[in-house]
Amino acid sequence: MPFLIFMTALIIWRTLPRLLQERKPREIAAVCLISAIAMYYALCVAIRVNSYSPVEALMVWLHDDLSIGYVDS
Amino acid sequence: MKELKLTQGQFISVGMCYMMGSILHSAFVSGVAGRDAWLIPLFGGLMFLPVFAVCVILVKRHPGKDLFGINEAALGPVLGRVFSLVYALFFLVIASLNSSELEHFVAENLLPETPIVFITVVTVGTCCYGLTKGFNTIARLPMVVLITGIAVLSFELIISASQMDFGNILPVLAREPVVYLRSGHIMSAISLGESIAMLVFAGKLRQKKNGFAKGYAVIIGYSILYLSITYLRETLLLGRLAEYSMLPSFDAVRMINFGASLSSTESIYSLMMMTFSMFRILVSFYGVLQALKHILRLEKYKSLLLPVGALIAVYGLKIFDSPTDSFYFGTTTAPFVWAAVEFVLPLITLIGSLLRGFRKSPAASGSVAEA
Repeated sequence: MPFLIFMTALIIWRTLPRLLQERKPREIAAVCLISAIAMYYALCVAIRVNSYSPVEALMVWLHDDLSIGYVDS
Repeated sequence: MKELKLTQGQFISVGMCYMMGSILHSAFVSGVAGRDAWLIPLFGGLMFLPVFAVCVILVKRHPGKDLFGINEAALGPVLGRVFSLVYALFFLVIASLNSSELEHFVAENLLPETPIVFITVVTVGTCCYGLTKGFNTIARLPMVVLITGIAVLSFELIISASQMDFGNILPVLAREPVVYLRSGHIMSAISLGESIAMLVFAGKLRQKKNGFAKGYAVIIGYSILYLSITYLRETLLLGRLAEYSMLPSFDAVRMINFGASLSSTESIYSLMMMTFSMFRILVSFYGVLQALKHILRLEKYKSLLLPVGALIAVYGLKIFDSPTDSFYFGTTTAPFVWAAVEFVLPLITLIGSLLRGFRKSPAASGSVAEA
């Protein structure tokens, strides 16, 4: 949790003033979206949610459901 | 932030450092190929040749453009951006995976009492700081790092020579052909294939004529040689143990015992491994930023630096539950996913580029005739 708070504060402190000054909607949207995803994963890590990450979910789906990949010997 | 311009030497040394960082997942190959792992970089290199050719042709057809510029020029603005987004996600995954591997390596072998989150924050924070002033500053370092790295590697190779058992690599090539095919595929897709990140620097070289092709060839050739030597040393020092180790290159260095003063050479080696892994994270991180900059049509990537850094850090903590999961998928499914990005996407881009060339040339000839 402290990591999450530290990260949130750092991003807001460093990024937001510059963004608001320049006022580029695409840039603001991208920063907000990436920050939101990062926050989501930070929260998952902080409260120890046992869920697959997208990469792991993709690997499990390909390996278990579609049988793509080498058979482990 | 100055526009990035790399000399040939800087490009080659950045590429070499990036490729040397791949040694943290050496278990992917040695776990499958066993005592023949030292030959796999050669097979992997042969399998990688078509991709190398495609990348070089693409860069030659689009001079002055990087990977994302090439995508847009060859496939149009919409599909080009979609491809750039796929590459951005791919580089994000590479950066996170390397960050995760580095954290586990440090937490398990060097600083067992330190929380893994702290190691992550320091690692990615350093990368963020390094990239604030652009890649120009970072590009000055790898030459020194590379020379030090090669010196350490040579030194450890010499002092471990007396402990090597050449019987460990015999019999050579006695396994089923499918083992070599599989491990060659892993090598070409994961260790060598990730060199596709070098295309991010394609339009940024000072030497325009064949600069990228020559530099990329040197990087791949050196990687094959370096990986072969590393796997050979692992097998000669560890024997069958190399097949079961999660970090055989590091365990091999741990075996070195050359008198009382040189019994802990692994600390030097681990520092070197960490530095090369940092370069791997840095280059992939830079790739993500460049891709997003291109997709969003931004002039600078500075505002994206911290959010993307935070995403790499937390995603690295979450990406795989344990290094065993990473190893399992790295040897079974990941080579297919990686190959789809590294082999198929550049091929589609090349086809798009050729088709555009064909479509343009009759129009051009028509206008000449009219004139």
